[in-house]
Formats: sequence, structure tokens, C-alpha cells
Amino acid sequence: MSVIFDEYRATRDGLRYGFAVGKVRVLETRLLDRSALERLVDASSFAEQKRILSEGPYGRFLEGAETPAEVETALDAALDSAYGFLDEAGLPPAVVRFFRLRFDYANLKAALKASVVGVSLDGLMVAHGTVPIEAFSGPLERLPGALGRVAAESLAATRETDESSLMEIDSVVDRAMFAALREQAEEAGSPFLVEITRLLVDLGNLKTVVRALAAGIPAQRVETELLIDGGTVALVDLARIVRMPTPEAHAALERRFRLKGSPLTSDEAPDLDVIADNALVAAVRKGRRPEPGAEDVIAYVLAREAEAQVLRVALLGKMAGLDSAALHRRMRASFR
Amino acid sequence: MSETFLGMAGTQWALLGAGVAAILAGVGSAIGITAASSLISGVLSEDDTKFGQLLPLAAMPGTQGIYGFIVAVLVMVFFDLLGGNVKLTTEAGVAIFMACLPTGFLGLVTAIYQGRTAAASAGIVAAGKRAPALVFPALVETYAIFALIVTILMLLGLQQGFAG
Repeated sequence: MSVIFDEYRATRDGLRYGFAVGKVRVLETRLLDRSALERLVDASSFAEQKRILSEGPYGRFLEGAETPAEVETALDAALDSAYGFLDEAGLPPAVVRFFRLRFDYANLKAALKASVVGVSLDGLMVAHGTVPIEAFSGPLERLPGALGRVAAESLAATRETDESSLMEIDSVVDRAMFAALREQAEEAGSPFLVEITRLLVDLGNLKTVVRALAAGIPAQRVETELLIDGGTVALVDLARIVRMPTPEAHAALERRFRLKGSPLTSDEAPDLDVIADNALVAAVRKGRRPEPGAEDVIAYVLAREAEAQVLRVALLGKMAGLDSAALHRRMRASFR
Repeated sequence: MSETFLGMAGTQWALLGAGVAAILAGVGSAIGITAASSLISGVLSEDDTKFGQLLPLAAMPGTQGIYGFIVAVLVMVFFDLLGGNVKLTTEAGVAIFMACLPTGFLGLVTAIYQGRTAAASAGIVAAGKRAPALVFPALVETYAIFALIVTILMLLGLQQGFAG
């Protein structure tokens, strides 16, 4: 009986999302591949980078961009068009919320840290969320829904301004965000989004453990306060790793999270954001299926997010005067 | 066999068989074409240069509906149902109905799967690959043709036996 239901669902999804998936099949071919990224990184100047991108989908967004702020605005506009595609494709509202909610929580995290450290919010907020960024300038406890509750909980728990307190904010906000994302993924009925949520939890825990080891935070505190449940790697395993000496812990993390290329134990300082983004791109590639379904559209928008991040690093890095070698170290894997 | 079976006379069974073949295969074709066409329309909305390569993929699931139509016409022609005053025995009518089932049911199933295969194959064209995308949905077509041949052979046999 379940076979018949699966076949019915596959046929129904093909009819419902066929048009959007057809567009995705073409748009995927316009994503930047590895060689295009290499050319961007090796370009002699920002003007040369713009020339490389001019014939692709980013050309119209970057046309008048000359300063880092204008590049950020252009990439935000490009990303906004990708999120607009989610609405256009007729995906369930929960999928759209899944994408937008992450920005709400990222803004909340930035606002909480800014208020604890005592810095301005200028340039820290990102658009694309469900809550206008102006709302984060007021009392954070008054933010709508779960955001206000999380802000109150986080502010009550944070007294210091040291590294571990900032990690505490990360932990409280991330815990609430992953619960919200899981809820949206389940409401959308998308096993792929549920898997992506579990991966995001794993990557959050990976960063927490590496940073806690570097900051010398007691294992007991990491285990009870900072790690988040809901990933594919069990908390007991992570708790065991946190108690190991740092080199062994890094090697154990590489094995447990199946990280490619020994990024933690190599000589160079690990860039956790690069490791996390590469793991996410690898998971997104698996979202592509031969038969049309919502997953194709979700995977494409996630790929566009990853691509925007890569472009941000390449373009802003070049503007900041970073050499090609430094940019290569910060490059993420491409979707194609 | 009595004058009726499940309350229907022989001619009614024969007409039901013709209808089932035409309806089920037609429904399958409609679903299959929609599945392929909706994806192909999405591809063309971004790249209209591929129309020529994609049109056969969208049209392919339509053949099952044609097979169902052919079977329905053959039933009416072979057993003189177009002539008006026809009286088939219940045994003959039920046998004709059975003969129509392969084309009806296999037409329904293969048209839907062919539509899905055509949609997947459209991805090959969209990606700009040179592989012959038409081959894969054509493989599914084989089984619809087998069903049509089986139905025609059975109808020919029945025509010899009952109407000949």
C-alpha cells in the first residue's frame, strides 16, 4: 500500500512542481562552477571580477556596484530574487518560512551580542527575514513570537562579556532556531528539509566543540549548556570528544562528522565557516533527484545561498586587497 | 452462461470493454502529458531554443490514449456495434471486455510512468547534454505496444469465434 502511496505522491509532486523544477533544471546550469570560481579568485581586480560575472545572472545586480556596501546590496538583491522564486514555485508556506526564519534568528543573535558587548547594530543586520530589521533596534524582549521569548531568556542568562558568554548566546538562539526550523520542516512534510536541519545542528555543534576546545571552556559546561540535541551525531559522543586533548578531539571530530581532507588536523588554522558551508553544499547536491519535486527547488535555493556566500568572500576579499592564495583558502565548494 | 452477467448483457459488456480501454488509456495519457509538459514548459520559459528537442518528449505519453481509442474502434468494427441492432451473447461480451483490459490498464500505468520518464529526460536536454533523451521514454512505450498487440490478437480471435 505504501508503494502505491509513494507512486501517487511522486506523480502528484511532478504535476504540482513540474514547471518550477523545469526552470530549476536550466537555472542550475547557470550556477557558477569550479572553474568560474577559480577565475574569480585569480582575477587581477574587482573590475575584472565584474567582467567575469557580467554575462551571468549576477551581472545585472552588480552592474553599478563599486563599494563593499554596494556589493553587499547587490548580493542581497540576488538572494532576494532566489527567495522570490520559492513563492513563485508554489512551495508550501512552511518552506518559505524555513528560509526566512534563519535570518530572524541571525539578526537576533547579532542584536543580542551587540547589546552585551555595547556596539552599534550598523551593518550587522541582514534583510530577508520575517521580522523587519528595524524591530531589532528596540527592546529585544518585545520582538514578536518566539524571538522575544528567546531574547529575554538569553539576556537573563548572559551577565559577562567574555567569549563563553557570547557562545552562550549562540547556544540559546541556535537551540530555539533549530527547534523552529525542525517545526517548519515537519510542517512542510519535507524529509529533505528535516535532514538539512539535522545537518545544521551537527555543524553548529561542530563549531561549538572546536571553539570551546580553543577557548578552554570546561567540558561539563559545553555538554550541559552549549551542545544542541537533534543532529545526527549523538550528544554523548560529542561529550566524550570534548574531554579529549585538542589534537585527538579534532581527529575524532573529523571522523565522526566525516569531514573530507582533514581540515581540522591540517597545519593551517581551520576555517569553520568554510568547513560548514562545504558540508552543506555536499548535502544539497544529494537533494537533486531525477524526478521532479519540491526538493529540487529547495536544493536550488540553498545552492544560490551558498553561491552568494562564495561571491561575497571572493568579491569583498578582492576589494579588501586579499591575494589569490588567501582567497583560495576561504573558497567554498561549488554546487556544480 | 445466463442472458446477463452482473446485470449486464453481452453487448453492454463489449461496450464497457471498449469504454474502459479508451477511458483508462486516455486518463493515463492526460496525466503523462501533463507531467512531462509542465516540466518542459518550465525549461522553455528559461531557454526557448530547446523546443524542438522537448516537443517529442511531451507528446510521447499521448500514444497510449491513441491505442485505447484504436481498441475501442476495433471492438465496434469487429463486432458490428456500429450497425445498430447487435446481439452479442453474454459469454462473447465478457470475453471482449477481458480482451480490452490489457490496453486499458497498461495504457493507464505506462502513460503515467512514461510522462515521469519524459520529465526526467527533459532534464538531460535542459542541462545541454548530448545524450539521446528520447530513448528512455521510448523504452516504456514498448510495454504499451505489447498490450495493444495482445488486445488486438484477442479481439481477432474472438471475432473468428463469436462473430465469424
